Amino acid sequence: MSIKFVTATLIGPAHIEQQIANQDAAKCKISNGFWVAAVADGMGSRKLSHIGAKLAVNIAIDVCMSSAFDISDKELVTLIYSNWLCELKASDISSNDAVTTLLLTWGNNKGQFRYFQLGDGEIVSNLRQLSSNETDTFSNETTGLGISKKLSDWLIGSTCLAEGEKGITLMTDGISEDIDDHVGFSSSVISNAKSKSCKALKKKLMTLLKAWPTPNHTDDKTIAVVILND
Amino acid sequence: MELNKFVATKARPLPVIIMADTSGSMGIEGKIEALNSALKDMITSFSTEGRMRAEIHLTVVTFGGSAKTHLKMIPAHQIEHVDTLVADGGTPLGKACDLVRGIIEDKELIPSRAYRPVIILASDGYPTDAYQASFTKLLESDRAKKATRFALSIGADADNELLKSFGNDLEAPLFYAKNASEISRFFRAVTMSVSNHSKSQKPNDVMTLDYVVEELADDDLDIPL
Repeated sequence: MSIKFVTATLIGPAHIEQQIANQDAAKCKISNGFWVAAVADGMGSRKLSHIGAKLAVNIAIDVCMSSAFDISDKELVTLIYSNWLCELKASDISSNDAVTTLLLTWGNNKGQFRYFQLGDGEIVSNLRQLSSNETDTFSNETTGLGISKKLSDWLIGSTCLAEGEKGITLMTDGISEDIDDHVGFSSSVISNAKSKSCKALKKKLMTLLKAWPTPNHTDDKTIAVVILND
Repeated sequence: MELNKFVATKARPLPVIIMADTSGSMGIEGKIEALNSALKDMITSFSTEGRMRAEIHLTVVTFGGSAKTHLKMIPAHQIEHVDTLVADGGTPLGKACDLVRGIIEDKELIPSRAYRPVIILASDGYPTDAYQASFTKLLESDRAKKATRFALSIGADADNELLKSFGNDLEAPLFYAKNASEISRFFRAVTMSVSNHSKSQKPNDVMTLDYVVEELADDDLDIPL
């Protein structure tokens, strides 16, 4: 199986106006037959959440790559969370100042994959919604590392690629909240990936983010695309 | 298919729900006239907002004789006309609560991408229907719990304990309007807070209301500056 990644991120108009950093982060990695993609969205009201988000994706990828694929959900979440807290402490940063969501997918070359989501955003393949925050919250109400203390706050799953499943997208809520048909969007992104180079898809995604059609949008926008080929 | 076809082309709504008592007792001492005027001014103000971040959507549910949706949820800038409120009959608050719960739980009317809604309950009397179960159901509904809720007690005969339990601003669970003029001032404060909120960096934060009733000195002009 061949695996390719494309990520795109763009600071939101509200953060440009406030002269603060893009608080989203994305990172992907492939090694020894395993792949990992992570996206994080630092909580806007916390002053160092851009650091929290970057740390979260880096740590999530490192923990996955150094763990057995059959590690339990609780053990994996605990490892990621505790390493994140540890790194913040080492930098003398309060976790309360660095709150971030985390969306993570972790797979192998046999078509098996696992997904973990804390806070809002979406993990969607070209065929199905993998994790979804279909609760009765309103926009921008979320949880994250630095707030959550329960495993049940995480949306977690383990599955195999279905027939025709060609890729997975991870989106922060800056994107997902302005999209109704997440599967349709993901399918279209992945179709584009099949017909374009990674560079061309990244360019197309950045063009979309820069000319985001929703009036008065404010948020940072980040997407990671995992393209899976038999 | 082009990717931008999937992206919403409407701004995130900031829903405002007015629950207005239009029972017979509102027909005295100029209360219903003040409410009509306040509502008209509110709509005019909302409709001219620049929609900088959130787009204000408004609905009005009345309860006087019967409970009904007087104005369906609509972007404020699209409101062309609102019928005048008429004071008549009893105070079926329970029925109004059922209507409002239906509105707030309707994801077509208030999508999940909406900012935290604002619900305003204004009443001058005691409910005349078996309201308790409906009132509790509304307050305990997941979405109403997360809404910003304000209550206005009009005149001297309102059920203040009930109204206090509706408001969820711990510092100001209930606002008071002793007369028609104060009804106008309360709604001006709501209008200003909602307008400012819709333009703020964080339209989803809990809204507070800057409304303090003070006796006007002879030289003070009661104008909305």
